[in-house]
Amino acid sequence: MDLLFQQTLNGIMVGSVYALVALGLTLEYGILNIPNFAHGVLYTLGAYLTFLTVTALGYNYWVAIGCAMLALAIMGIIIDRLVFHPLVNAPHLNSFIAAIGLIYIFKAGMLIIWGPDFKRFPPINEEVINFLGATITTQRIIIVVVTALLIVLLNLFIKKTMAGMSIEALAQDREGALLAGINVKKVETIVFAVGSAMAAVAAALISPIFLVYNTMGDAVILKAFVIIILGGMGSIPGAVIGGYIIGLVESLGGAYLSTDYNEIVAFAILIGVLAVKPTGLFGTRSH
Amino acid sequence: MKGGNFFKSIFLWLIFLVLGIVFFTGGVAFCAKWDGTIYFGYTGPLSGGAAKYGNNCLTGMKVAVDDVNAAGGINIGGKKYELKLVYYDDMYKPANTVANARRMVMAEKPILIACPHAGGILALEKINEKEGFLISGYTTNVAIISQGNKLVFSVPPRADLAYGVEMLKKAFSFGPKLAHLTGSHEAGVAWKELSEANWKKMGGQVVASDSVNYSAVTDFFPYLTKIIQAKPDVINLYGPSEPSAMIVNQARQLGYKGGFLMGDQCKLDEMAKVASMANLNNSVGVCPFELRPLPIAKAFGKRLHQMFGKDYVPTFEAAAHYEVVWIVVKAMEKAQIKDDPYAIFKKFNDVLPVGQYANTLRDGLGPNGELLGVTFAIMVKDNQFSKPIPLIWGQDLYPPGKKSAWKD
Repeated sequence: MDLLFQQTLNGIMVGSVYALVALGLTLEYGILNIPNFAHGVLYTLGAYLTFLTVTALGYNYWVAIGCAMLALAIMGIIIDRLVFHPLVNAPHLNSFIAAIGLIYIFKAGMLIIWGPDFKRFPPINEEVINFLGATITTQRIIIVVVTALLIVLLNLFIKKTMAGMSIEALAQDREGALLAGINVKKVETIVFAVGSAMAAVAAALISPIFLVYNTMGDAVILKAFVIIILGGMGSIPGAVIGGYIIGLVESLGGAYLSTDYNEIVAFAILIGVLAVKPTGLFGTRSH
Repeated sequence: MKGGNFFKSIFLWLIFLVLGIVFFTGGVAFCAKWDGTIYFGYTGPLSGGAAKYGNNCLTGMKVAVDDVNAAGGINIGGKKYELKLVYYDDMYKPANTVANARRMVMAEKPILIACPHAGGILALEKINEKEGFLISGYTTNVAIISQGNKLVFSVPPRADLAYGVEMLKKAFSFGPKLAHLTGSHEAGVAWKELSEANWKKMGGQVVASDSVNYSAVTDFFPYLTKIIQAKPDVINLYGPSEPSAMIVNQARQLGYKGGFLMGDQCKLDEMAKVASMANLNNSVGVCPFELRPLPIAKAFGKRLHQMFGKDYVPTFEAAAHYEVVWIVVKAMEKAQIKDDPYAIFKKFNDVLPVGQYANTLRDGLGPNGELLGVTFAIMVKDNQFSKPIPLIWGQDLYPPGKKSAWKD
């Protein structure tokens, strides 16, 4: 019982991070059709910027998260304007290649600036709390709560604001949205800003409990792709639920089967879902 | 128009003049100092998760090459050769290792290629005898010297004899129940199999067994929760130091009070920067380089601190690669030959240990191609490092008439 409860908590924590990364990706790939593989390196960049703001500049952790989100939002817009937007009418393959190029540029750049070392945050929110026989640290609670808060905020943004509604319109029916006069370029800008900021906050939340390093985004971005396919392309609830599913599968699968099979179980679920519902759990259209 | 042409020709002449001066002076300097160039090669991870490890190895070689040249280069047949190092990043991937080696063989024809990972070394062994280069293999994995290849030597102590037996005995003092949470890379898997076999020989049992890619995990809580549930006395780790230290931290957060066995890739001094000594209590691992009771090692550590700052952690990798360069240089001078790897390799036992350059006191070459020499383990008890524990191994592997240079 203890094991089940502890692993459920662990799964929800990791799932929160996955969900945040997948949210950004589902907006970019699912809605705009832009395969932003570079989302993973933006996640890494977000971690480095948070780390830098906390250690070198000495700011408060929360201020650092804000700075990283802002910086990444701007970076997202720049990437869109410089790289992806000019390729809007080019063959789909071109954006793929551009995204892979971006990964190389960012990784090499970060390697030059921060080196190959693992960076360790000064201990933040490390108090251990024993809760109904399970162990959890303050930072882990913060991760879960902040993620939940962000998901609610994002939902409000999509449902209640004009900008958000135009994103949703584009997701539901691209041609219809265009006919209704929605400015795709503006939507693109918003999506990239929001998506990249989400990656930044995910990285900023997780990095105090682990390490900051050059390849930290690789594993996460791979899972995020699985999640958005599982949840359905462009679906916000899909990304959230998918994120928690993968997080829980990893921790519970690891506990009761073997950690060696974590990825196999995740992909088996993906294949199972796609066999029954080819558009993913919440998807309405296939790509 | 005319003026334009005039300036153009002046400009061209200037360029020729400058180029001429550069070639001339360069040529003169070259002729005066060296009679030729000898290349050593290195291929290892310089980016990605193991980049730090790869760069540590490379640093040792770079410093050694500078020292060799400062001491007058390599003397063969009355001629002085400059030593140069060529190196490429292989990202820890054997396929890249071979591609890098081929590139070097085509361009510079190095007589030695060093590689710090078992997968890459095994791949190199497919081509090195044909292409004629010696492999310096930095891995504790015995597989690389069991292939029957005549041009490969292993640098660090053999895991199966030194760490896998002697160090394990120290860990056994914490209790008989072992749980693996070792790396899923080649060296990690080899360590897991080796330690498991020897642990069982000592009468211990393995209560949990997990392999995990240390640099692809977002959080170790799920792994540790499962392992701690099995109530081990000792958790076995093998991977880069910083993630290993985070595993220790997270295990302590989850209430684990037992011991840790650190495979040779986990460096306790690097780990102590991430995990507190209190968290590291009851650990057994390889003795940090600077704590080794060898005066040459301490002096080399000090030198690296002067070169790279006080926060730099001098490693066994850097020290050993420094030593390897000198071993091969000395062997070349002994053999008086610069392009026959077999002849050079034969002279190893004549030059070992390499005196003031013997940072890690490699003092002999065993029959399979293993560099021999004492190594040290260390324990963390009561929030501090214990005295270094010498691990004497491979005494029967020394050639006749030679024995370990280590004296307690």
